Amino acid sequence: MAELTTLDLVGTITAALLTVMVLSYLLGDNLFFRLAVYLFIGVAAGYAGSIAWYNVIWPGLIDPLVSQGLAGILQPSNIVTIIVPWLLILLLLLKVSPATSRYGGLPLALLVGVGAAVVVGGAITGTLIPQSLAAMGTLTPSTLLPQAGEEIIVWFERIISAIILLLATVTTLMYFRFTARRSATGEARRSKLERIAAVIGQVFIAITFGVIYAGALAATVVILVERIQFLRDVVSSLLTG
Amino acid sequence: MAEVRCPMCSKPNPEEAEVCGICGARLKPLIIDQPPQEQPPDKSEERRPEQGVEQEEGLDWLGRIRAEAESEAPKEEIEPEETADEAVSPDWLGRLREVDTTEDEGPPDGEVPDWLSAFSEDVGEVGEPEAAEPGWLERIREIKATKAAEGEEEAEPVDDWLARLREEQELIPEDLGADEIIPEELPLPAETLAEEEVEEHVISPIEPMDLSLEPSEIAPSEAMADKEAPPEPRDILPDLTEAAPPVTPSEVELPSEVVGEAEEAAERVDEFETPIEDELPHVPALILDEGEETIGEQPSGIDLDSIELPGWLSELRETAPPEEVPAEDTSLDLAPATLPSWLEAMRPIATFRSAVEIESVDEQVVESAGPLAGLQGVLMAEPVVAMPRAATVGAARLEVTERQYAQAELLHRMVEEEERERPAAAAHRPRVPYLRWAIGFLLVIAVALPTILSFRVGEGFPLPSYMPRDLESLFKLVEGISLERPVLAVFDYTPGYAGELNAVAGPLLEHIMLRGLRVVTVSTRPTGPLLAEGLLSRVGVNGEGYVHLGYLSGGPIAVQLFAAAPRETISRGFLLPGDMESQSGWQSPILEGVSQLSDFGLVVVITAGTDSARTWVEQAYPWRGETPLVMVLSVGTEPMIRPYYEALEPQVDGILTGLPAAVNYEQYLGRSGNAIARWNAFGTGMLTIELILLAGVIYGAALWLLRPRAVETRSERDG
Amino acid sequence: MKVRANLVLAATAVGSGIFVLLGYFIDHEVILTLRLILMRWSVLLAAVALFLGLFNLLTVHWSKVSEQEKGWPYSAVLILAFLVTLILGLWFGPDNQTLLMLFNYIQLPVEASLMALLTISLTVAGFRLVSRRRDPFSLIFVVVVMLVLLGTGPWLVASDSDAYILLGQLRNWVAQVWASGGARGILLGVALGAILTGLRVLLAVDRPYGD
Repeated sequence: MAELTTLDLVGTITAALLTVMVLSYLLGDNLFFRLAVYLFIGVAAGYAGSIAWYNVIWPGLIDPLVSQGLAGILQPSNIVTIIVPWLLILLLLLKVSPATSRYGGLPLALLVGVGAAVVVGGAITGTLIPQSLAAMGTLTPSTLLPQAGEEIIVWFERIISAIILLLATVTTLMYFRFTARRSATGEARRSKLERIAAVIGQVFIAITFGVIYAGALAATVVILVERIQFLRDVVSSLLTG
Repeated sequence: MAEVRCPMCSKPNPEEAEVCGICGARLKPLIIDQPPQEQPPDKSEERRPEQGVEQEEGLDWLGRIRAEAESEAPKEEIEPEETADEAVSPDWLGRLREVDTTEDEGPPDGEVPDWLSAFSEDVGEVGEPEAAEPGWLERIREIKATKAAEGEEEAEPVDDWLARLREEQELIPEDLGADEIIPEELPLPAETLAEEEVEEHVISPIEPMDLSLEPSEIAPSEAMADKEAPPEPRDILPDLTEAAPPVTPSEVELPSEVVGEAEEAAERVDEFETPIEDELPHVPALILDEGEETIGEQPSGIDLDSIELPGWLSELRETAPPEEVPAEDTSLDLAPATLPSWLEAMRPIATFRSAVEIESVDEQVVESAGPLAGLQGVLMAEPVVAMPRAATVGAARLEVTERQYAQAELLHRMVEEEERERPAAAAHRPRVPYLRWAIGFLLVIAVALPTILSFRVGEGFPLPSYMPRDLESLFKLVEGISLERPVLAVFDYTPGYAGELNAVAGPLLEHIMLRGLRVVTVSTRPTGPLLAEGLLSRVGVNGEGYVHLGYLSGGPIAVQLFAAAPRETISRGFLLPGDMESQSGWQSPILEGVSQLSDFGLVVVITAGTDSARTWVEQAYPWRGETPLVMVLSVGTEPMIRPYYEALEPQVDGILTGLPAAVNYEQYLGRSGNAIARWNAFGTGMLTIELILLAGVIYGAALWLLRPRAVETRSERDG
Repeated sequence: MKVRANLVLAATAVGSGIFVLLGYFIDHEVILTLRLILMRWSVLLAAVALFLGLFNLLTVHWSKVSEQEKGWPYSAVLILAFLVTLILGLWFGPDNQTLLMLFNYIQLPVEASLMALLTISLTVAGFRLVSRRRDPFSLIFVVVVMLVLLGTGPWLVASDSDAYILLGQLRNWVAQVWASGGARGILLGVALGAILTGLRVLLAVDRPYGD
């Protein structure tokens, strides 16, 4: 570890103490753990506000207003870039008080509308169409036919993988389809084919979640290792001076 | 056996019953029978029923009048439907019913009501009670005396007293004497009434009349009171009752014409200044003794001219031709009960038994209770007007469905539960997390030991020798990037994942920078620029090897805006070098010539969240053109992003995930970084977790193997 | 009056959303320009909304301190840390060394430690899962977890053996084929749900912005 200045040393020790305070939760909820968490929330919130102001609000709202001046604000070109955003933000600030809260609906409506459109557009163009095409292209002739120089077992493995991939995609989708017909007895049941497909889909979902869970375990182990190593480094630096 | 219906509750009772077995109401009126000579001349004398009198209440004195009016008509007996007991009704009305059959008919001396005194005008002068007694009354008394002597109660021959009254209509009885009037003994001068009048009057239903006349209004009819006059009427009308026997018209069924005229007479009575004392005509008894003729087919055509009518009544008759009266009168008096329309509309239909039944003469029920006993087609006055009707069981039955019953039971149970006291909750004992302590201790030890030991030993788990195929393609991809175009690195992970992603992304960024490529950082998280600085400062120099554009606020909107117009989205940088502090990050030479996303040579998204990765894939895909997209992911995120990679036209061109891949990358680079440094501890940690889960499987299997046997053993014991 | 206001809000949301959505499919200058303007306004509004959220956080904890509710000292610490960091960041800038130190010595270690605690929690949850649940899908889940863990982590012994290599390849095959297929189905389902939810907002069926 590099030579630490006094300030760095104090900070490092503080970080080590906070790490220990948080890890003390293993023994149970205690004063030190709560103190560390509340301190973290305060610092994180303060930093988020400062960087939002510094990176977004100041250059987007304050700086143009200051640089243009009152005369420049009234120019037509600044209506879109300064006046309207300021009006929207002033309306949004009315949300603070319950008495004036209802006047802050316009900026929220704009935010919600744009956000919904972005999500819809991205889902259609970025996931729905490409992933559907990818699923359909799993068993194309180019996929099924052996490539030049490819070993039989490799080709066979590719075929099997493609079939499993398609089967997993279809059955997982069918599992989440809960529409059923009502029979003469009044009971709502899916057809037999749908039920079989749903069961197979459940198998693939269990496999997917198992992989996700194992990956999360592996990730958190690395994080724990990093924290233990940090403590070791602090202790060693303190011991070595 | 014939049954009699109770007038109060309409329950059937035996024929011979005097009192109803359900409600206790009297079924047969008490009959007052007292000989005229025994009647005290005092006006306040009360009628006392003759003991041992069994008198049918169904005998109607007026009916007997009609019967006597038909001198040739056979006297028919109407068998009483019920016999009257000697029991005294509890109320004064009941006592009025008790009639002393031995009494002479007619009012006591001096007790004849005024209207009858008017009748007596035709009869003749009424002198002193003893002295002014008319002949007809004497004949009545003689008959009674004969009966008493014989010891039999014979049905008194119907004596049409009205007829006799008519014969003596010129006589104005001033004082009919103090004899009590026994309605049933009242001689009915048959010749005085037309047969048709009587018959119609008796047989046909009589129009409903207001029988709830106040005693003050019925003073004239008190001449026909029973032997035992209730004290109340006498008290109410001391003057009038002195003159007339206490008989209420409610017990007496009078012809409608007579009643109507009686009402008019009552009004006239009020105008009388002095009561008539000892000058009222003797009115025969209304209730016949046992054995007396009952009212059957009444002789028709009662000739009212033969009745000794009061003056006012005679005046009315003078105005109308007597020939016309019978026909019209009978049509009015004795016509079948044709209820007026307004009354018919008021007639209750379903709630209780209709008291008025328009039936034929033969089907009409003979009234067997009350003072109207013996009459046919009468209204059930008492149960309808006077006494409330008890609700029957059928009317109180409530139809409840099973569902309603179940809901009522549920509601009842809920209310009961609310009232029930719940036992005090047991003191909550803090649960000791032994399992968490044990696993936490094992994992910390497992991770700490190699960390400490490797510091000293440097050996541990062997490094992976197997290179995944994905890593090879990534190597080639990075190697193929043009040096003139910067690499956009997106730091979209939280400080919590810094321990893993710094170790995984470090080799890649180091590879990029070692090639001479410059890196431009951006983040949609506030702490992203700080994390970028912490990672890149180890491998490069700020301003030369990398530059930070800063923070993008707005989530997917900011990503889409940045992808479409990067320069318009971020105007200010982060942690710019000293010479660029007051400038924008876009003014850095690293970003020279870069105006859109496709101008970057590579886009590297470092993230631990599926949403963030998917957002960048979706939003940046249409705008990045040929620029490859590489994902550096946490191990848990990889499965959800891999479909974007495993496609014929992949949207993600490279994936780097997990510490093993990072170790492989560092091995490829030939540099030992954080990944290799954490490999041993990572190995022991993973091994410990595997052993813990394996222990859980064994524990679960042992529980499963042991539990069914315990259940079977218990069931065998119980069996 | 209220109906008119709701109509204005709905028209704003629908109109702005339609223009932004059209920009994904129609390459027209007017649409693209208007789309950029709307998104720029939204970015500014999002930043101001972040400040409103921070203000709300401050008021909540301030009320706890002023009313001396349970745990008010912690709220006091939070308020102090928040104000100090915000003032320093507004005054010196977020890239100031002081703030860097605050981030490196307070926020980073605490957040990383919290994530490290997740290791123990996930392991405890996995232990309980494998020891109590015995349905077929839980069995498949456990088998896959063990397979991925064994194929991901290093072996203490025989790490160069064929078994280790075979297990690694099997792990990759399960994660990259079997799980990938299921993940694709999940992604398609998520995309369909996101499209449906977004269209409900764009068609003014859902109005989360109204009173």
